[in-house]
Amino acid sequence: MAIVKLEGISKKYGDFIALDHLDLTVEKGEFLTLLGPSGSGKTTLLNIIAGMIQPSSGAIRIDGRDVTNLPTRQRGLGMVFQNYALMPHMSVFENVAFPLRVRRAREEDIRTSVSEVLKIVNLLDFARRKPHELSGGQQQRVAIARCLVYKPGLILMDEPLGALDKNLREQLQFEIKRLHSELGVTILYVTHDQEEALALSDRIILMNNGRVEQLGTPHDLYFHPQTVFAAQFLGESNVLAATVAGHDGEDQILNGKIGAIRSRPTSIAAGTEATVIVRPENIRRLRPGEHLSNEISGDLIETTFVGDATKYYVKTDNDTIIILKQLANAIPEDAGDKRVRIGWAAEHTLVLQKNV
Amino acid sequence: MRSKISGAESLALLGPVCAVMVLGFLVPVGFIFFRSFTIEGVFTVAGFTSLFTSPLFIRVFWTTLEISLMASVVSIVVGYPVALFISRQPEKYRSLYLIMVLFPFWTSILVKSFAFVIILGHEGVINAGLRALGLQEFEMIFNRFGVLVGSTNYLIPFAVFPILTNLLSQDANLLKAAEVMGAGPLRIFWRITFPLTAPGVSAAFVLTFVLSLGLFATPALLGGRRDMMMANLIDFYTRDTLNWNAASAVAVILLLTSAVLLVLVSRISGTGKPA
Repeated sequence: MAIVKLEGISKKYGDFIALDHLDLTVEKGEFLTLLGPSGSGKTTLLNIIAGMIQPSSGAIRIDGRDVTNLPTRQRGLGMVFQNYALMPHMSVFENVAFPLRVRRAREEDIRTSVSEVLKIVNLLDFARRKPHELSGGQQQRVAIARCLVYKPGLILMDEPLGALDKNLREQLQFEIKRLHSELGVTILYVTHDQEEALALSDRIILMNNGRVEQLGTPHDLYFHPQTVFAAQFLGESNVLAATVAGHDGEDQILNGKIGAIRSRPTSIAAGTEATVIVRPENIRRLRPGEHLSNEISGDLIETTFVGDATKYYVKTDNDTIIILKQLANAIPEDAGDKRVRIGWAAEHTLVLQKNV
Repeated sequence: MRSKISGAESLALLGPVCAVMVLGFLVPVGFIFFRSFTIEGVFTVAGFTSLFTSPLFIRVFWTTLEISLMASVVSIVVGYPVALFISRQPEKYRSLYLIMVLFPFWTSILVKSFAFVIILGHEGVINAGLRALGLQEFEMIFNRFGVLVGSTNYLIPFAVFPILTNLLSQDANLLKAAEVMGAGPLRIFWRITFPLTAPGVSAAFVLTFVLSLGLFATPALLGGRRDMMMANLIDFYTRDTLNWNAASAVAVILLLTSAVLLVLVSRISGTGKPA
């Protein structure tokens, strides 16, 4: 069942098109993420749903009701902000009680409900504190409690972990994920952090230049990117230009600058220009005598150790740089041999039609 | 980017202002203290004791506090909406409005007080208009009303600025958050915006109150006999009775009243943590 339905939403600022005819459905109970670089329109979209920005055209439906011209306060949503937006002069208790007071709840009901949600986010002992007496992570948990307490149909989260350091961010990611699955709330989440999006979401909407670049599960987006942008935004990619040449047995053959590339068969016709994408983690250095469907020789020009993995930059004999990534080895590999042979399996060659 | 400066350099930078402050402020204030405790060079507290038993002084003292309190409350009540309005304007128009708030500073308080005589007087614009419409005219000058109009006109910018600074420092997301939670504009104002401006309001109060304690031209020109304030009393002692000892004692009490008030208010409001 759809909680939110956007129909042909556009937003123009003068000549600049922030959102270009966007359709979108948020299903009840799902965790949907708007992912994209800054300026892609994800925050504009969130603010349009919240009612803080009026769309230039299109309609917004929440629970089947057209709310396009309804003010923010009548839309019955919840929102979590990057800077927490807790009322600095109110205690944690009063902050969480605020939406209930707006709804004129009875005093004893307020006390029970607030205690209940504070217990859920493990902050019951902090009820009397002022926000500035809490850490960033705790403040954001208060902000989340403030949303949960009045059970809005949809909770909007605008880069809620953006102001936290890495460890806290992962901890709170886990917490948000837990609340989502335990309470069955519907969350529309905005982030530019691909790892966060992959870790949390049921579905991801990848946005670029005010349009939906690709919509799908995290798995889909990562393993079946439909555009070069998607491939490059989620994870790392080697992008190579090639032309579809034909078939050889099970494999499709493409001709590129680095020579023949083998992939699994696609529906792209022979002679068509295509873009080939290979993930660095799918390429590896080949031992002598080892063979893969795609093989290439080159010089190792740079090795970067990034903790869990080591990245190798290989310059092929026809001047293409290919990046590969391997799980880091506690024993450093011999750096002496500059000449390397690298390869990847045909099923790891992603072929995209050119200009998509 | 902080570079150390030598002793000689700091002397050169701060010397002039120190000299002016010593000669133009500390020395005269010192003289006033000296005068208030001496008559013809002999130490005495007679100046103070006679003031505290003088019905004139006591009445003037209370009148001064009363007028100052009313003037600063009215300035804040009138100035707050102005500050709120300006804070909600787009940034590019804000400076234009600020210039308008500062307009009154372009003329001296003396000139403005005379202007109010013309506007508010018996034959003034307002009363003439009321008469022309066949309505009851009323006295707006040489009474408390005239003093309050004149003083609030002068004080409003001093109320607007601290409140505006405070409003502009508030996090706009608080209002967004409250709106998403369903709060209407009135509730947002009274539960969030207004409480958060408490430090700004108390700063505005201190500023306007202390400034009005020293009002001289306004009560002299727009007030009646019952609206005499401390500064007018000092003028009376120095010019009409040539009692420099009493005049100095009034000045010292005025100074101490302002000082006590500043300390009290800063204690009460604390150094209010900004939002």
